[in-house]
Amino acid sequence: MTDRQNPLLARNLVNRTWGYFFGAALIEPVDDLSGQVKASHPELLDELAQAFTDGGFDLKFLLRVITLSRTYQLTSALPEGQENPDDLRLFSRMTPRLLAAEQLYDSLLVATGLPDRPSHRAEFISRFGRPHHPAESQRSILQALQLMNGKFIADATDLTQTAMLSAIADAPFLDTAGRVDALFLTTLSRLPNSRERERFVAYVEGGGPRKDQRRALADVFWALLNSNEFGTNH
Amino acid sequence: MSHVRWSRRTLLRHGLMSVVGLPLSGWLPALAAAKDPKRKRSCILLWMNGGPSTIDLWDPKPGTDNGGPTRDISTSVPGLRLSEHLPSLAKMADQLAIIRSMSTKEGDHGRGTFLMRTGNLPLGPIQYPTLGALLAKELGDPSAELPSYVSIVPPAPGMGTLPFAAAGFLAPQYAPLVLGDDEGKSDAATATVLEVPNLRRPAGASAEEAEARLDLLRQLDEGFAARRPGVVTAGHRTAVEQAARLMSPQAAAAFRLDDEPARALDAYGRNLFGQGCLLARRLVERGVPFVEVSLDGWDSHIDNFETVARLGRLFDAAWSTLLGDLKDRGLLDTTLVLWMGEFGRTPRINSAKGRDHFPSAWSVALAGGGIKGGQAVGKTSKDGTTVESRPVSTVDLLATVCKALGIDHLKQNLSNVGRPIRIVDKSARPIDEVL
Repeated sequence: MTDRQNPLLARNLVNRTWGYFFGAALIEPVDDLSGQVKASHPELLDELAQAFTDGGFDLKFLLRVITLSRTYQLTSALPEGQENPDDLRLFSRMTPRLLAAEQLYDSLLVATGLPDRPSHRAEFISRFGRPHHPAESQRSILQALQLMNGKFIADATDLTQTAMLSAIADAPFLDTAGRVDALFLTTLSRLPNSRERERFVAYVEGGGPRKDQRRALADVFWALLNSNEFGTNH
Repeated sequence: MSHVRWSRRTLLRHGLMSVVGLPLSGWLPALAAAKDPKRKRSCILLWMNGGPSTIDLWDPKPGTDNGGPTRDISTSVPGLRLSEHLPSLAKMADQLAIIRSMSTKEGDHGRGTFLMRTGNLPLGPIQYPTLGALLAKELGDPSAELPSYVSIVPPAPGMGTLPFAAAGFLAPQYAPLVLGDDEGKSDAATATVLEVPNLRRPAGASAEEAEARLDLLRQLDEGFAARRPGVVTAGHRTAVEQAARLMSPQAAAAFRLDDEPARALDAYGRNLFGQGCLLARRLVERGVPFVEVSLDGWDSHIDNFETVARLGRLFDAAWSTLLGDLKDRGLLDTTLVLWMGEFGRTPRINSAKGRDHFPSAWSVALAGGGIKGGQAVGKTSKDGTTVESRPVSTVDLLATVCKALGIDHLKQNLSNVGRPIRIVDKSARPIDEVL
């Protein structure tokens, strides 16, 4: 099977590795190398497969080639002013991908500073589930409900449970805008843009339905943790 | 209460009226909606996973080598005999249309399931939607609180099989709500398995707070989706919106099986499939256009007759109760029930007292939805190995389902490869005998 004359192993590995990094392989579905389905970029696949074979099937080489490429480093955002998205199979921008259960849980721990408890982790992941098939990996209603109402989120947005949230809420050296910025940084690793800052600061200063600024901050935190942006590799 | 969209305003109005002591005459228009001839129809799919041995259920051949020990019984329809394992359904045979001449070519679980559930064979990158998604799109109300496609206790997929309850290129809008998919489900915990988890907002959060939070979330998501249009962002927003709607008290009430009297729970059968059928009835009552309930375990290569007896009686109780309930509630004419698996089983009994996969001649059954019951369509040979008359293909069957539900099966949807694809292939010939 690893005979240099047999191109299939190299093609299969290259195709699947590409699919892993980019969210879509050059030949989809990855199971079908019968030749009936055409590759989206046949010359690229051939060239990569050849280089991989010539390099002695060195996976590290393949990983370096892919991750150092300009294509891999493209953003997932549409260029400013462009309306219609290209076919994502043309790899003109990164395909946003949902985080898997473990990735999401790890991200939630980092964002909230809550401790990692194995039983809680196991329960979260088993409830959240794994897609049975790549074609099914979209956020389901049950997953959305878990993130909106589940125990983890309830604890994470409870000012008495989450030290980090109350620290941001109570820090005397932060004004409201500073608090909102801190929440964005801890969850989305970025500052809010001007529109977001305006709206969210106004919400917190209004105190939300309970007229309580600390609770309003918890609401903002809830929204950030539930956001599409937080839950996506983009 | 059936097919009515309960806006908060409507509920407040009714609630207020009852507080003031006025008679609940507001309910009468809602009840009248159930009788509305323009009421959209619903479909319940009873999915028999593993390839049910239909020769031991719908097309028994007692006294022959291939018939094995299975005996037949008379039914409410003279001349129509069914298996001994379906006593309750036999009494309602006048409502059933049994297709004995199904003939397909896929004897592999994955491909057979895909074919029967989508009407197509897997073809490269095209993500064909299952029947549930196709019908949900035609029959569903996109603003309803309950999702239009619900899949109850789907079977665990095997290695490398294709997605079971998938909306394919009709996702995310028509992706199903899946209940009871947890690993480690068991009959003992049926009530919790069929629940929708995390349906209630956390203790201490008021309705206004929940709404305020959702509003903040929507603002964040809109901004993100604007720069990254596509299936992932659209799917996320759809899931959040549908989840929020599902949280309403009226929608959440649909899932409360405890509201049913004990004798109903008993009649359907205290097992996942039986309770799933009861839940299906409740969802259809509330206007959900497509519900599927799966019964797994039919792959009887070994000890076929024990399997068929056990599972046959199980769905006999559940389905007959379901039909009776639908009739009592005036829903039978607008609710089509389809019973099928991925293929049938060999007439020849193997050395392990089992039957193996057999797509060349097998049976499916239909009821409700205006179907002309009390008949068997098509015939198999005496030894069950071939279809003698009126062969029916997958697409013929699915086109029949569409027609019964008032849907044009030739209608096209835009697929994920940019090609328009019909709901059912145009080669299909609906079975006029049952319509």
